[in-house]
Amino acid sequence: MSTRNYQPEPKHRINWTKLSEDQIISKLAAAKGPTGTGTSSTLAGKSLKIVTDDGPTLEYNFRSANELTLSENGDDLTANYGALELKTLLVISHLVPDTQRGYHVIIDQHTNLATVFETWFSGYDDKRETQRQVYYGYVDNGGEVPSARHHITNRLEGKGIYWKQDNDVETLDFYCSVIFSNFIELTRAGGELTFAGPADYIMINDHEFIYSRVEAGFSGIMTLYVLDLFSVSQAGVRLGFDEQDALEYYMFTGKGEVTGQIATFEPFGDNGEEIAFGNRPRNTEKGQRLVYRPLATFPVMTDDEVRDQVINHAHAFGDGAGSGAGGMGGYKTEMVDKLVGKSLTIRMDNDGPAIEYIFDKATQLRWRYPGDNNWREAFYEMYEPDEDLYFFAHFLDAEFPRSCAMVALDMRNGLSTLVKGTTGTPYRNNETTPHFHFGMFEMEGITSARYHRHGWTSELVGEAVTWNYQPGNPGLTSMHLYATPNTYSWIIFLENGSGGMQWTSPGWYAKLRDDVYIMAWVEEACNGTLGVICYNKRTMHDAGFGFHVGPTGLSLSVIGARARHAGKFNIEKYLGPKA
Amino acid sequence: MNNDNFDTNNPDKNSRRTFIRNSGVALTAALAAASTTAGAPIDDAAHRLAILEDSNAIRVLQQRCFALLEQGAARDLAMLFSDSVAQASCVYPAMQLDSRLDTTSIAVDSKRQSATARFAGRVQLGAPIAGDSTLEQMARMQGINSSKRWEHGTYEVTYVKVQAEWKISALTYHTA
Repeated sequence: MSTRNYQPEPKHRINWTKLSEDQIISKLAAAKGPTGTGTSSTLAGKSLKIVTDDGPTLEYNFRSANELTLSENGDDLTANYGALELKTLLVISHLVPDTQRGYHVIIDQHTNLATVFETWFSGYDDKRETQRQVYYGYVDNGGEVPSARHHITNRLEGKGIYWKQDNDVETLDFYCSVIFSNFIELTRAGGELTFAGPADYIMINDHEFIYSRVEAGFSGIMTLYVLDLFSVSQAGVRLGFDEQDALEYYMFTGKGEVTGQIATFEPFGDNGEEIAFGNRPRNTEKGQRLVYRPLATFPVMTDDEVRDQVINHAHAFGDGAGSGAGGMGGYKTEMVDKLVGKSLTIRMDNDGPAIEYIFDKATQLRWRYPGDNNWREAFYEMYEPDEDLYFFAHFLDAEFPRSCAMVALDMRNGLSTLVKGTTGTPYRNNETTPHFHFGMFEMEGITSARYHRHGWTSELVGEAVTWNYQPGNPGLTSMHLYATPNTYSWIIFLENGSGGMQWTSPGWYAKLRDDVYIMAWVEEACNGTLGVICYNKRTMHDAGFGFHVGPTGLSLSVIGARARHAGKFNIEKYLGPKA
Repeated sequence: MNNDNFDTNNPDKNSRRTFIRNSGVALTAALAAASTTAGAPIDDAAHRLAILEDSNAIRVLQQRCFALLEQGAARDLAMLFSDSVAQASCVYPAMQLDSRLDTTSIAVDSKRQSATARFAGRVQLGAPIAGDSTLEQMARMQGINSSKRWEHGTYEVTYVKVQAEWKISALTYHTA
C-alpha cells in the first residue's frame, strides 16, 4: 500500500553524510547485485558483445539469470546482475566487483543498438554522488557495423509523467530541460516539494527514450530508466545511498500517466542532438557535466556579519533614486503615485500586523505600528499590476531581525495582503522567510469587505510560465513551473531556447482576484532571496520585489518581467494530503 | 538570432541578391538620368557610369563586411578596412543592412578617391549579464554572458580607395 512518508527534513536541509571511499566500497561489496522484482531470465546461457564508440568493449557470458562473466577490454570478472525487458528493450545492470564502478546497459533488440552507462562513486568532492559516462554503440553479432546510434535529444522536453513503480514508489517526473529535470517524490517524501538534478535524455526512437537523473547536492542517487510512450511504461535501475546512507541498488518496472506537454522554445528543426552551451567550453573529461551546486556558492555569514549588513548596508530601491531597469526589473511597469498625499491603515486578520501609512512622495512614505508615537520614513515603490490594485514594498526597520513589507491594496474591495519578509531561517541567518497575512485596509472613501479575503490558492499548480526580464533572446529569461501548492522550479534557457539548468525552492501562492495572484519563493540553500511577484494572467506581466541579505548588504529591489504561458501539467489529483 | 532579412546560411547569396536588386534600381536611375542628358559629352556619361560603379562596389563592400562579421571571419574582414584604426570602429558583434528601406545614400567624390554613405540597418547589442541573482549566475554558467537584442538605426560610413579598391575608413552607428 502506498503511503505518504513525510520526511523530518527536506532534501535541501539534510546534512548529508560525507561518505568516505572505504565506506562506499564496503557498502558496494555487500551488495549481491541489484534487488527488485521481475528480473528477466532471457539472457541466461547467452553471450553478448557490446562495442561502444570511444568507450569499452564489453563481452558478456550470462551464466544464469543473475550471474555473468564480463571481459572488459580483456579483463575478466564475475558479477551478479539484473535484467529487465520492456518490449524489445533490454536493461542490464551490474556492479564491477571490488571497485566502485558499474555498468547499466540498454539494448534495443530490434536494431541491436546499445547505450552503456558506466557509473562510479568517489568521482567528485562529495564521494556519494553517482557519476556517469554514457557510451553509444551496438551489439556485435559479427555482421555489418550499424551506422546509427542512440543519441541525446530534446524530444522528451516539455513532458511530464506520473510514475508508479512495481515497488509502489510514486513520483511525478518533469522533463522541462535537455540537461536537467525535476521530480516530486509522492510516496518517499509526501509530495510537498519538488527537487531538480542533472539529467540525460537519450532517444532510441520516436516513442522510446532513456532518461537518467542524479540527485546532485543531495543524496547523489541516480535513477535511470527506459520509457515507452506508447504504453507509458518504464524499466530501470536506482543506484546510490539514501538518507540513512544505506545502499539503494534495485531494478524496477513501472506504469505511468502522461500529465501534460508544455511548449518548447527551440527553433523548428532543432531536435536537440547537441547541447547549445553558447560560450561555455565543451565537456572533455569523463563524467563531466554541467551541475548547478548553489550551496557551494552560498556564503556562510556569522550573526555579527549579518547584523552589520542589515543595519549599516541596507538599500531599498537605490535609496529612493529608483531601482533602475537592470537585472530582473527590465520590464517593470510605470510607478504609481496615486496615493501620494493620502493615508491609510492596513489591518491583517488573526492578530496579524497593522501598519499605518502616509504616502508623502512617489518614492517616500511614513509608516508606524498603531500605538507608536513616531513615524518612520522609508523609500518605497508602488506598481499597479491590475486596475485599481496596487502593490508596494518598503523596509520595516523598527525591529530586528530586519524585515520588509510587500503590500497589495485592492482598491475596489478594500482588501489587503501583506507579505512580510524577514531575514534569517532556522537554518541560515542569511536566508529570508515570507509571512503571509490576509486582511483589509482603512482609507477615506473606501468601505472594506467584511468577510471576503484574498487567500491561498492551488489554481496555478501545474502551470509553466516563461518570464523574460530583459530585452534579448534568450537573455535573462527563465521558466517557472508551479509544481505544487508549496513549491516551484525555475528553468534557465540555453542559447537555442532549450531548457537548461534548473533549480527549485519552496513557494507560496495566493489569489487576489480572478487571474491575479501573488506568488512568492525563497531560494533556500541557494542564495536566500525572497522573491514576491503579483502575476496578472490577463496582461501576462508581473510587478514584484526581491528581498536579499548577503555580504553586500540588505536590499529591496524591483522585479518586472513579461510572461508567456507555456502550458500546464494536470497534476493536482496526485498532490495534497492523502488518506 | 533574429535574421528576418538576411540569409545567414548563405551570405554570399544574400549579397548577390541585394547587389542585383540595388544595381537594378541604380541602373534604372542612371538610364533615366542618361535620357535627360542626351547630347552631353561622352566623358561626362562615362564619369557618371564610373560613379555608379563605385556606388555599387561600396554597397557590395558593406554587405560583405557585415556578412564576414557575422561569420566571425576576422582575417577576411580585416582586408575590407583601410587600416587597423578603421577596423576598430566596427565594434558591434553583428550588424545588418536593412534592404527593405530605401534610405541608402552614397556620395562619391568627383575624383573617385573617397566616399561617404548612410545606410539604414541594425546592430546586435549585448548587455552583459553581470548580476548576482541565481538567474544571472545560471545563465552565465551555461554560456550566456550577455543579453542580445537587435536595434534599428543608421550607419555612417566613409571609404577610401586603396590601390584601386574601396576600403572602409570609418564606420559609425547611430540609434534611430
